[in-house]
Amino acid sequence: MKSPSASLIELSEIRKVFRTSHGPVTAVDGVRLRLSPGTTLGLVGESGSGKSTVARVMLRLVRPSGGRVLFKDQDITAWSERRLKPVRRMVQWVSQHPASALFPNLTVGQNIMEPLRTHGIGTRGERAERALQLMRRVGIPEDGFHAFPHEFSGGQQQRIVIARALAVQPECIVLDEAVSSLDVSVQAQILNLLQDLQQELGMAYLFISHNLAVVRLVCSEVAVMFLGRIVERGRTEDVFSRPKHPYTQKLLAAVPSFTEDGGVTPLDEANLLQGDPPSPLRIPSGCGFRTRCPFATERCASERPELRRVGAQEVACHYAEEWDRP
Amino acid sequence: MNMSPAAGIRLPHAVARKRSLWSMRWRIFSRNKLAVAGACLVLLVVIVAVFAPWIAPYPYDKGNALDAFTKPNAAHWFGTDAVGRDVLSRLVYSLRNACIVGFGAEAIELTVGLLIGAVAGYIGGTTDTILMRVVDIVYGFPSFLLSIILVIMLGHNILAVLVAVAATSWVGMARVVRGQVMTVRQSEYVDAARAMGASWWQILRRYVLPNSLGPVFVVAAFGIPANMMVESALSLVGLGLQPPTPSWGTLISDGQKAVFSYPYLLIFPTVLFALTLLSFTYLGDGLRDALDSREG
Amino acid sequence: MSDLLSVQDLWVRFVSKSGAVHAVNGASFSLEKGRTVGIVGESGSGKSVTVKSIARLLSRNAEVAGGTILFQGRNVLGLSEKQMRKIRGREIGMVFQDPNAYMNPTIPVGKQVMEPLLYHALCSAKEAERRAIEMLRLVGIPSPEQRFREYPFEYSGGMLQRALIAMALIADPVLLIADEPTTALDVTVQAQILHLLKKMKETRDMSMILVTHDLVVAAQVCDEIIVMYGGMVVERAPTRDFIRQHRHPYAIGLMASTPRVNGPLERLKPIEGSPPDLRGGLPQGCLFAPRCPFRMKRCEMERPPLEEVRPNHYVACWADPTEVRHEIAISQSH
Repeated sequence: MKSPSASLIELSEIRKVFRTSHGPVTAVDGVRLRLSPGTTLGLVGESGSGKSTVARVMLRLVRPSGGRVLFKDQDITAWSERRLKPVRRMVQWVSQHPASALFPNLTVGQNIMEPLRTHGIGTRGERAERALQLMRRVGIPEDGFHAFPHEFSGGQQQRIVIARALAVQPECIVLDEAVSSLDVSVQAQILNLLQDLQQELGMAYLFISHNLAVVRLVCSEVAVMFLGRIVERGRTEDVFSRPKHPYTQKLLAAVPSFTEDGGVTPLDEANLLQGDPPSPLRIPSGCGFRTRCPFATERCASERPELRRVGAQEVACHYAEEWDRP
Repeated sequence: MNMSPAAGIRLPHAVARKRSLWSMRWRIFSRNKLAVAGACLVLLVVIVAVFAPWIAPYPYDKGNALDAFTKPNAAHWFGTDAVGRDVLSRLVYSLRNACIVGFGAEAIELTVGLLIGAVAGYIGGTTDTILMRVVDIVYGFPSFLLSIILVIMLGHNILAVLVAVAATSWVGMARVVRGQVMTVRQSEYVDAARAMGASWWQILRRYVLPNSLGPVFVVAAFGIPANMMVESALSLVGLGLQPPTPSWGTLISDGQKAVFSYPYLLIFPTVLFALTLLSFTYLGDGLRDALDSREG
Repeated sequence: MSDLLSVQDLWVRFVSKSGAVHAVNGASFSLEKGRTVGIVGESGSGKSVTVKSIARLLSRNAEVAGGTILFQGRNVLGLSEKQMRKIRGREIGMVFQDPNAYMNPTIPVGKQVMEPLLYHALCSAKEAERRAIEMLRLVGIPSPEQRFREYPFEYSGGMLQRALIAMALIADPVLLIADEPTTALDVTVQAQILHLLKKMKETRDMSMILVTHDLVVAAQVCDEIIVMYGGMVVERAPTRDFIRQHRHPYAIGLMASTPRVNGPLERLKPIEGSPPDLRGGLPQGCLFAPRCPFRMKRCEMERPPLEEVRPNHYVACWADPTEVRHEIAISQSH
């Protein structure tokens, strides 16, 4: 048996440019990412950050305009669909709207069995048995086997999607805003389920979300994206307790949270980001964040900061050391 | 691991077979009284059409000249026409011909339209552009004129009429299918299927087509009466089925000539024709309502 | 005690061919002049339907099956549509979730912002334009004279929501109803909008109802928090009291289900089960009972009324609060 590779999936200098009617849009620009087996990596950002595009590139649903996608050190960037098939088995996807992600013309049982069928695993009976087992594991009542997805609530549908993703025993699951459209109480159930499954089965997660609190819960590592670039990356506890990029700081300050003394984080004008998020159509030169950064200098306009190690994490800011004060 | 018998899936305990998508749609359909009435009438029409030779009391082409222009009576329920032929029998046979053209042309439309529409919608790109330009060109022709030209070229038998009718009406179906396939193709579950590792063929067969077919039934249901109308229009102007072969068009044309003296010759064909078309229309409406809804 | 608004035992249901959906089932609360209350609940809690009832903006198939809504002393449910139209936009301002859906894409934003003034004949067109520009400036839109003439598509989501707030406030209403105003916005933009709402509340003589599914958002902006479940009010308290002393099992469950961005990292303790099915007949007892870890026999038979357990703190629950606190303390120490 091969020794486990250090990286499961690696994105190397990924660029993706979309041609739109408004002109070319650089959704992702120079992203380097490595997902190791059994780890949970969170990707946070707001709209326009490019995080969903990164997910789609990783799933090879979209071809990058530049850079390479590596799966277990193999360059799969230009592989045909046929060659990709065994890789696809190892990387599964859970998206934001479970109702749209399930096949509406198939029953719940059939939905869960589809990946098995596609990859030719097991006999009909074995597949059904596995589907039932998965349903039990994710908490869907067994008599739902012959029901249709639209008969279930959002939370239950997402459980079905998760069961379907687990069917082929993947090594990695990409979760793109997987709990964002669920009610808080349902979200909590699904998050617990995801955490339990991860510990039990040892899969790697790429967890994409705009909700920082959720990412903190699920992921041991996190990368913060802004306008197609990663601006800060490191262990979750490090990034969240001592954010070093101004954007990360503002992002964290903007998240409303209860404080220890029984209060709430105040809405301080000083903490707020001013103005609008810049459009991906017109990314500022140099550092993409400079138009909203209270500390921007000339250097920020002319020189694009690269991700470099500052303390415990990696930061893309010329002045990151200034923020690294205890 | 429990092995299941080859026949079926043995589940650990009795799992109730829940309603399928289609039985739910049936429920919605059956609540629509007009649609059900339409469906029953359509069924009746089809039965009459199929069993015409046994239902019609008289042959459609033999008439006793002495009996010409008799009003409806016990022997001839709908009366007789100018050469003594039984109107009822002629109506039954013309209904049969209408159905042959109506359903037959629809079958051709479905095949051609589905094929072209699905290919254009699924593959997209240049293929789609080329195919849709072809569709546009055919669509641009005055369709009735084209049907006339074809019928003159191909002859006046029922097969020729069928082809002439189908030749222009397939474009509507192609467009609808293309639109549906394109929409479904953008669905998240198609992406999910790709991410899962499904091949393009599997995606088309298992996920795209089954979810695109809803509107096809509706278009077909409305297409059949449309075809019937074209057929009778052709006969009305004397270019479709030739006498003695009965067609609604010829019956109406004959009736129209004698409308003031013998109105029954016009009334019966017209009313029956209208009823038939109406029943298809209500059936189509009902189908559309049933197939549109996604709720349980 | 001058209550600006008093909702008393409101019952609203939606009727359709497949039966009735009981959206609001005996909700009661009041709002004092100048205060801000946050109504928090998940989908199916009835929070949106409740506030829409105040402005009488329910859809055609909605039926108010009981209760009164007293706004400035008048029962809003008894007024004619004509009378309601005088109130909407003038005395009650409203902001909804998706600004793009509530703005006419073919009319410049400025014109829409000044519309309430013209509709209620409060001033001349010229004056209205001046006030609209002022309002746009007040809500933080830069270069308001220019942006007055621009169309909704030229605005970003956050900007448009500010414009909607400007439109809601321009006629100086006494009550502002904001229904999930920040749900569709990015978190940094949400912070800006919430800050704006808070500023508006402080500088204007205005009361506000903020409807949200996010407890923390409500806590940031509002003086009081109301939690709704299954169409009923289950708990109501001033914000600080609520955070420290919330005691309805649903409220406790909600707090325990909300992940935190700071503080100790704990496993979430979700509420079991699914949201209640409000179709058909409602159960006799408390609607939360099936999911409640503290349920007793009584809970399934009888609906607990909203009772004042501490000054200004109301809870609708049969469970003994000390017991509930005790259980929570035990589970938290694990």
